Amino acid sequence: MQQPLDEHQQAINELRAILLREDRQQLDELRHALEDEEFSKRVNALIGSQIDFFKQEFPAEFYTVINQWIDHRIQHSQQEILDVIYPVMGKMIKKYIQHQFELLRESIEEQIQRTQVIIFPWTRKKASEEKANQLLADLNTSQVQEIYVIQKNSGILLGSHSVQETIDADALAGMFTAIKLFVEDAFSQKSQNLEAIRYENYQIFVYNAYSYYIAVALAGSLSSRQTSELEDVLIQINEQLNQQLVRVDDSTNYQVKTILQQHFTPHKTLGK
Amino acid sequence: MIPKKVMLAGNFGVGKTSLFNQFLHNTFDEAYRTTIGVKVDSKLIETSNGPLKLMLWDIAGEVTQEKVPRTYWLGSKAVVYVFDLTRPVTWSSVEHDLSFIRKVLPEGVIRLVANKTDLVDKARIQEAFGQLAVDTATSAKTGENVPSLFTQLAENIYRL
Repeated sequence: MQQPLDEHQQAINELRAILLREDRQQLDELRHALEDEEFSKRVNALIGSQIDFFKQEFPAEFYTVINQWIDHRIQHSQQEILDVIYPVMGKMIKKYIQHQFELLRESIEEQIQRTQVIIFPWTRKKASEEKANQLLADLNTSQVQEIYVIQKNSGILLGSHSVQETIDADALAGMFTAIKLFVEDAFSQKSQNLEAIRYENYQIFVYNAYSYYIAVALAGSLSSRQTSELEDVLIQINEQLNQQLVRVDDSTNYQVKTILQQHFTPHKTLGK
Repeated sequence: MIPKKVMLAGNFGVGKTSLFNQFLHNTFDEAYRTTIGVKVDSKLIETSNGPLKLMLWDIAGEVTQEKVPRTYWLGSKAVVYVFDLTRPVTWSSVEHDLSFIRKVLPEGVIRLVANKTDLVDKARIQEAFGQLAVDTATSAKTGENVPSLFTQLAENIYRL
């Protein structure tokens, strides 16, 4: 069976060679023409001139179309654009504020230097710098508004101390606990605790103890030094609470409030 | 005074928030607004042993669903489980939900409340009492049995 098939294939090849002879000849001529150096030069020059023309005329020809396309993209991608721009804007604003603080600092230093009456020349610069730093520190302070000691999970308020009348400290403690538990549950971080909630110029700093947590409502932002200072105070409170709170009963509120009052006077300012 | 935590539980739309508002503020709103997350508020109640502050947690939606963090139940002294007299479908989940609550709060006091008496006839109320171990039937709209529900609950959990 193999022999007749080979013969058949050979016959087809011969027939193909006869029928396609002219086409193959033309194809060879075309290949030679394309590989010709002169042809390449002519074509390259033509393409180059077209590219130059395109570069020159592109704005005029496509300006309207591209503008329309960009408008369309902006209108339909506002959220994406905001997502991209927002962090950049935040950094710019932060930089601007830092710059303004620097300017303020320089201005304070100059002012102090001008108003100093009798200071030895070699101490003048150092003294003015220290005073400027002190004035800036005064500007960058945080005030404790309220402090709560709240039983973990139940959200029951064990005691609180506030510089102002609070609507309902018990309800506030419960609601805050609900938020805290929800956040911790939502992120499935049973072993981790919510440590702070911020809202513009206010923040709630949370110190987590074993069976309760302490929530401190502050006005102003906390620097790392102020955070450390606040943590030291809360550790002291925690130690006192552990020693004095044997059980939770009707006297607990009073005991906790007394301890808190020892550490937080009205409008206690951190960082000074 | 240390308040006692009380949970309001039950299917969505049974009137938990309406009971909550009726008890706390003596108000009722005809419009239904689903509770998002949880609402917490407190009320001072006079009991035979003295005043007691109830801390009410009105949680959204169903009891066992995953949207309600399990930790919400911790530290509760009592649970007011509400079902809707007008919707028998809410009766069917009572046993299952109560079994879940007993597991989470083995020592908690549970009150089963049939709500919306103002919308059904006596036969329907009797039917509910016949099928389930109902403690009381209330109307958040008219306030029927709402104060007594919480006052009795406060008496029961005062010493807990």
